[in-house]
Amino acid sequence: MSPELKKLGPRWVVFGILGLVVTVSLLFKRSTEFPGTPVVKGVYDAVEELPEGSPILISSDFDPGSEAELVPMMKAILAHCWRRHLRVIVMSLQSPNAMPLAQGIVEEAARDNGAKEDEDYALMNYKPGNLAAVLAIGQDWASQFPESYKHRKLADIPAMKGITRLGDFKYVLCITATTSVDSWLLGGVTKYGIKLGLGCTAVMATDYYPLLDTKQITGLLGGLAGAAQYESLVKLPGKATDGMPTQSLIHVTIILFIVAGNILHFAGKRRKPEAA
Amino acid sequence: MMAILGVWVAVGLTLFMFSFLYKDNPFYKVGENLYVGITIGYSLVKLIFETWIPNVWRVVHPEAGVWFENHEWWLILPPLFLGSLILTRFVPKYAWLSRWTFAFVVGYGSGLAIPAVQKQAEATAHPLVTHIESFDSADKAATEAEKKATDLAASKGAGSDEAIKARIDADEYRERANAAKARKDAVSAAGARADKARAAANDARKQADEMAKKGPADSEEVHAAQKKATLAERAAIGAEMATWTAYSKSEYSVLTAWGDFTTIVLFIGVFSVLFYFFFSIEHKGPVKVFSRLGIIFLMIYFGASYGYTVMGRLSLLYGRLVILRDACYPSVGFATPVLLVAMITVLVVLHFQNKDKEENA
Amino acid sequence: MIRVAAIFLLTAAALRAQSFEKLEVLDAPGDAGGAAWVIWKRLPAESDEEGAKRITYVVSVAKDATGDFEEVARFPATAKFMSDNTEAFGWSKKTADWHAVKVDAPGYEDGSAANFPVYAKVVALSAESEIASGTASGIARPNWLTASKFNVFVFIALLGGVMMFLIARARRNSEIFVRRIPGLDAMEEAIGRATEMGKPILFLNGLNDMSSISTIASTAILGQVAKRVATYDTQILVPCFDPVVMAVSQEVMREGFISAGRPDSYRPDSAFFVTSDQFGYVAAVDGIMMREKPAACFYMGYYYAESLLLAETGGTTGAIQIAGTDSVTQLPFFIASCDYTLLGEELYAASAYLSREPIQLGSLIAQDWGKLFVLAAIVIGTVLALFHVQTFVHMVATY
Repeated sequence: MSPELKKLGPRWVVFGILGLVVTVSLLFKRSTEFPGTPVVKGVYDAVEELPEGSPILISSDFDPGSEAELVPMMKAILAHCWRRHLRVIVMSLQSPNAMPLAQGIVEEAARDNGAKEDEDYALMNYKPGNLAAVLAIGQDWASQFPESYKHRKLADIPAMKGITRLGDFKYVLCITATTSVDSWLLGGVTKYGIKLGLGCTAVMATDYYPLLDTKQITGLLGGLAGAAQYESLVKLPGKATDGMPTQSLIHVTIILFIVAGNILHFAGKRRKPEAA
Repeated sequence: MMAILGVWVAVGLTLFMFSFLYKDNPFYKVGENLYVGITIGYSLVKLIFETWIPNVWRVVHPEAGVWFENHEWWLILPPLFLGSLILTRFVPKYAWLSRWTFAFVVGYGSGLAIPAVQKQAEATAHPLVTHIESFDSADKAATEAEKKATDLAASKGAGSDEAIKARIDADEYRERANAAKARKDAVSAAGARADKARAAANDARKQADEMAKKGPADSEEVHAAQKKATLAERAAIGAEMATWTAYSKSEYSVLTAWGDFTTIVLFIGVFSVLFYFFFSIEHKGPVKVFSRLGIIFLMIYFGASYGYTVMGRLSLLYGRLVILRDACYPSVGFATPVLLVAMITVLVVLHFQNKDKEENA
Repeated sequence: MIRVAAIFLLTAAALRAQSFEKLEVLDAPGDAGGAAWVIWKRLPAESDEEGAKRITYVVSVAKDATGDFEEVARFPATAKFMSDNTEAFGWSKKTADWHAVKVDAPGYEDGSAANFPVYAKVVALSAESEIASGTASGIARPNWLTASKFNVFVFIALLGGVMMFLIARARRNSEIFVRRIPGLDAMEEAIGRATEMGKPILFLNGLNDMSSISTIASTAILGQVAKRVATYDTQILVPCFDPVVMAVSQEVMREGFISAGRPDSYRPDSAFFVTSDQFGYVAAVDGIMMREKPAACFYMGYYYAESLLLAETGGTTGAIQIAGTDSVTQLPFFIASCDYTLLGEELYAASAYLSREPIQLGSLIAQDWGKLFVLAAIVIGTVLALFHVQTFVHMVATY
């Protein structure tokens, strides 16, 4: 903590104020609508344009650490896919911990949307090797995923019909908290020419914005804000929409802290020469 | 029952981790060590069963499954060999062998990465100023080209190289003219849609106002009508904005100029940041100006990134607090308040015990 | 692509023929086999758009001339031109006059390296009539090279060549100019201050293992810091996250002390292993900071979410803090909480600058050349784009 900020009180005062703001805002429930920016709409439109029944691949590359940001995003996207009667295939490049989490999210969303396992969606497994895994499924899906997450043969899964390699997917969505998107980019987009959409944590969003300019991804959902916009687009306000007012309130609080810190900093600077 | 137990564990561990804000304490240590232990154990088991067994064991095993059906068994050997070289890291004397594997991975990766970088450079090379062709001029050019093609076809024969080339040119001009026409049409179509949406919004608002005047102003119907009117107004604004967007694609306008401005800023940004990272020339004179500009761009980027990171971290905090809030109710046995009170009590007791110890010492 | 281009040039002379006689089946260039292009010239009836709209093409393929032909594509004559597939047919304007459809070889299986014959027929349907082509054949081969990536190869070969040359030059003469990096001056100052105050210096190598470039760069910097530390007789602490990095750190520090002429004052235990758990490591290092109150903290190498935890604790102890990392997401935190920060590549540059090691110097300068090339490409591309000249963009286009 900088000495200027220290004048605002010990650090737990700062944490305390932040905690208080979040807690208080949690007690009031407001729902607002968030107009979709073109960046978020890029993903929405890509899903919207798919013909009914086409397969879509979701790479769920996050573990419980990023749950708060990415789960609302994934739920909104799943609801959208099933509403459009798409076949959703879910896999993961990130870590062994990602698939159990994804399974929970997908099954919960399936119950809410009346989607059936193996018909409207299929769960695959976690594949290590990032780029190598993407390249391998680019050539032959079954070499990497001979069976589903629940050990069912691909041939017995109607949702997998007609899918032999990555290129058979009309759209790939990478929902990630890691650099797995680079593998999709290099392996999927550069080598196999897939259409890619990205949902990532807010921390990563700035890094991946340039990909929009080069059209390497169709759209980008960044953090809770991106999720809230998607929820508004599919008209299914959920956790992200609920969380955004809190988010805005904390941002205002932090901006006030920054302003206060700066005022104290410059005030301190002016005083120093007098003391000397 | 299991679900309730799960909630208690989740709430308890969340509170344990938050207790670090007070200071390092036994609760935090329990939480931290549990976390480390569980993740390592879980990842290891998952890795063995979901990576090693299907990718290695089942391939070399006599009763191997699907993989064998369409691959030669020895294809597993090169990756297995390269993979096991990484294990030489445990023997310092032969640790250098693992570099072969890394060299393979790095070489393979950069082969794929370099075209991606090239793509970025390619995308940066935009025209800095957008040129929007109006339908009239495009149509004129197309008509001229078509006339020339027809003349050439008449004089040199339709199959002659010149005639074919002229026809291809003419087609291209016509295509451009058609595109310009489509842009022009899009503006009027969007305008018509916007007018319609605005009229509908006005109607809805009027209707809502009348209902409010007539009946009880606070009834549910009135609220519904007002909400409908608000939605219609929002849709109208959206349609009006779409008209603007269409217009800016058809004629050079404020929006197009804004687009050009961002392109120019992007160009200067890429240029100056690259200059900042030149190490073999001294940053003097014009180079210094550019590299200073580069650092300003970098700082703006870092600021944006910082903001996004703060947002991300706060979403995590929000997510946790939602869990704590949802565990405040009798259905889960008041997990949050009970655990919170218990923890604070223990921490207070510990605090005084430590104080006593310090004083005795 | 070269093969296709050659055939194209040969057939260009015969462009006059206005029927399906010029139907061809060409191997799809640069693939693993199993795909072919069926190409034919646009029919005369397509010359105006209205005419083209009325025609529908149906493409069918078979394994042999007498076999069952299976329909694989059906589309209006306004679509699917050679010019839509620049990766296979190049940018020549004439390709706009040819239709091209990519087909899978019948009977092809994934991973098969064999050649597959492809027989193709095209029928043009319109409301009034239908025109059928003869049968054309070709072979779908797996190819060793992808000609459309040739420009990438040239770029890599050029950059690689320049790098080799510059490393060789640096070997002969290491007096290559590298600009001064502001954080480095501060480093010297920080070591001096620690000496005056009689307090230790804390040096971290980041959280990556020895295979990461940032860790290699940070240990190179550590070697130089150790040299100064030995000269001034200051104490240095290097808590390590990775056992291998610890071993390397000890080695470079020993060399540093030897080259400063004070091998006797080197203590191997000044670089020590803490733990390989991210936050456990942070907790331990934060504890060391609070107890030892170092006069200077150096954070070099790659960091993750722990960056701010480290730098903030260091800040409360009043140490001079200098960070250097190529972890873009963590840079903002270091910039906000440290006195000096080496940004991204500056970390590698600093290591080359301090160590004057030929490989590092050579690659640093080669990277400058690479950047210059990209800059030049962007400038030339932008200027030409202003005049609607696309040739250069076509040359550097990637597939």
